[in-house]
Amino acid sequence: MEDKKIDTRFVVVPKKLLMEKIELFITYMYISSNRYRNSDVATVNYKTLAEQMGIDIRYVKQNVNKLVEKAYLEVSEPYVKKNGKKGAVTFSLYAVAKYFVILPMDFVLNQDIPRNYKYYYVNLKYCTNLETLIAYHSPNQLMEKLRPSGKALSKSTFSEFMSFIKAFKIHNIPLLVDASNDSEYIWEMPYEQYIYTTNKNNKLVTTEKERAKEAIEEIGRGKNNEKVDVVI
Amino acid sequence: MKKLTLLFENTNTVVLTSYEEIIEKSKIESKNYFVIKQALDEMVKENKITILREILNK
Repeated sequence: MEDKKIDTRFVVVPKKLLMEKIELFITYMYISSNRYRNSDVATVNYKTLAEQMGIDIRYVKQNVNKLVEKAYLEVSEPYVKKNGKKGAVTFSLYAVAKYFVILPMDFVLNQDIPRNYKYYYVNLKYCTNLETLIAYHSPNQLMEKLRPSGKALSKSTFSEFMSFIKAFKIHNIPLLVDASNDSEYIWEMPYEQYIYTTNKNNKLVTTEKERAKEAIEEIGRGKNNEKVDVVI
Repeated sequence: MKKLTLLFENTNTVVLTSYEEIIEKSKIESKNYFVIKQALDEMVKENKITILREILNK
């Protein structure tokens, strides 16, 4: 894996991808992790991708084909090296969904974390209020929401995942601050705040910030707002 | 609802709004509170607005 080509901060995943099979979701995350900085393009060899993911290259290709069919990305023909062998391909990622899920890259790339756990973490974020980054759920509600589509989630797996996620930290910042009691899970996601405050120049954040500023100015000019003249 | 009272420096008008209204008007995809917070902070630095009051109610 070429470290210099890895975006070490975070990966933006279309939320619609949550509804797809876990194999597709994981493949998209790994492709996305090979982008350079904020680029929408990732150039990587299928073989390298298979090594990163720890699966056979033919499964990587199958998953990529499905992602292409579903219009999540485009893939180029392989680059032909001077010796005639096939090299890297270029993946162009599309922002096809209206909403996005942002994941810490360290979490995505950490080989010690079971792949299912990464998926559950995305679902955990999915059922968090994105405005406050706080969520309130009963254990049963949460278990239902974390369940992969079409699959059952056992109580023991759920319990193991929650124990794991509560203890997991990145750069000494917890992913989840937990204030659970017996009847309700209450949590905050401080790492999400960290992402936004340390990535002010990210394309997604910058664009949204500019749109927010325009909206604030529009509110200031709005005829429907109650305006009060101020004497200074 | 997180209410805000903003003073717009160029027009000297005070407007009552909320984070939710800004999110709705800007149609930002992430619907993230911190993006709005950053936008407000920058506008304060640019002397475009003054935040007179901020009420955070759950």
